[in-house]
Amino acid sequence: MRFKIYRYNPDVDKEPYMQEFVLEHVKPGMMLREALIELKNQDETLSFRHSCGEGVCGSDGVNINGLNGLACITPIAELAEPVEIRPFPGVPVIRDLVVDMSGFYKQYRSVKPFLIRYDPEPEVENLQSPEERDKLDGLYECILCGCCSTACPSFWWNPDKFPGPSALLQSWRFLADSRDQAMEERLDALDGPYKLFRCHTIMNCAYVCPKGLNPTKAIGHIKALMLKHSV
Amino acid sequence: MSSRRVSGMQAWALQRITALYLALYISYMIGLFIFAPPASYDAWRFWVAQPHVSMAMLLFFGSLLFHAWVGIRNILIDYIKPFALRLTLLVLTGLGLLACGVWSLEVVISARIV
Repeated sequence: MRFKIYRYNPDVDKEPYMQEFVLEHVKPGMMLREALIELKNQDETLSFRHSCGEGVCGSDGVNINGLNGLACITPIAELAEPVEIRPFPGVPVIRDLVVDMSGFYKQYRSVKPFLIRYDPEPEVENLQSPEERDKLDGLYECILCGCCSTACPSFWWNPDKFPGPSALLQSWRFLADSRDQAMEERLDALDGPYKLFRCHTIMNCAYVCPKGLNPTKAIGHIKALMLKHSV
Repeated sequence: MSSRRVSGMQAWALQRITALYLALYISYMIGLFIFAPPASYDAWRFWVAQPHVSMAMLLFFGSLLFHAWVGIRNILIDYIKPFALRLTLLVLTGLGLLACGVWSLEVVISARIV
């Protein structure tokens, strides 16, 4: 099986280039992560991130034949040859497939992804009804791999100002939480031309999310909530 | 915060409300021109001069210009990075749309002066 992999080592290379690899033994059910490990045995200078190998940690997000995804849960049998592997688009490359995600994490931090409560701490647990808990399904599963935000043109254009689909999904996760008490502050922080309203419903985020989540839908919920609180 | 709100939530909500009016008005006008087109220029002018038609038409131009302003501003924010260039283009767009507004106002008012 043939691969074309983006290579760039800033200490040595003037410019990035595509290196061709051939994988001789394709095992049945082989995932792209295993293939990359095999290719790294051929050329040890090939760099990429990976850890859990089962789509939980979110480390091995790469651009596969033009689509962002997690290498560890992408079966190579489904990929067209030559398989083109590139780093996430729109973010600085550190080396080969390893990118600098600090801007992505900064935006995640900016939406205050934690419960904010003004009532005194209760003596017992903060209970939720099953219905209230159901509202967090499809939101809490996000593993922060960055596939969605680095597939979003609005995030490419304004990575410093636009929170991006991942951070906005997390923002809705706490706006929708019955235990959170900072709804007004959260909504105020998302108003203005650069925050919530830089989303143009392109929906690349929902298309690429390896966990099947839908940030566009979450953003729609935030817009509806903000409208409700504005009139 | 208030000026930011105008360019965020309110711009977004008004763009959707104006879109609704534009869709209805344009559909009605297309229907009118297909099924009951005015017989002559004078008939057209007489039709436009009716108060409710004038009002609907002015509302149409107002909605169209506001809708266009929000849309073009969005494109400029996305694609034009240098501040001076962006500001220049925003000012030119604003002035251009304002000129269109004054012109449409003049057209509708002149139809009412016999």
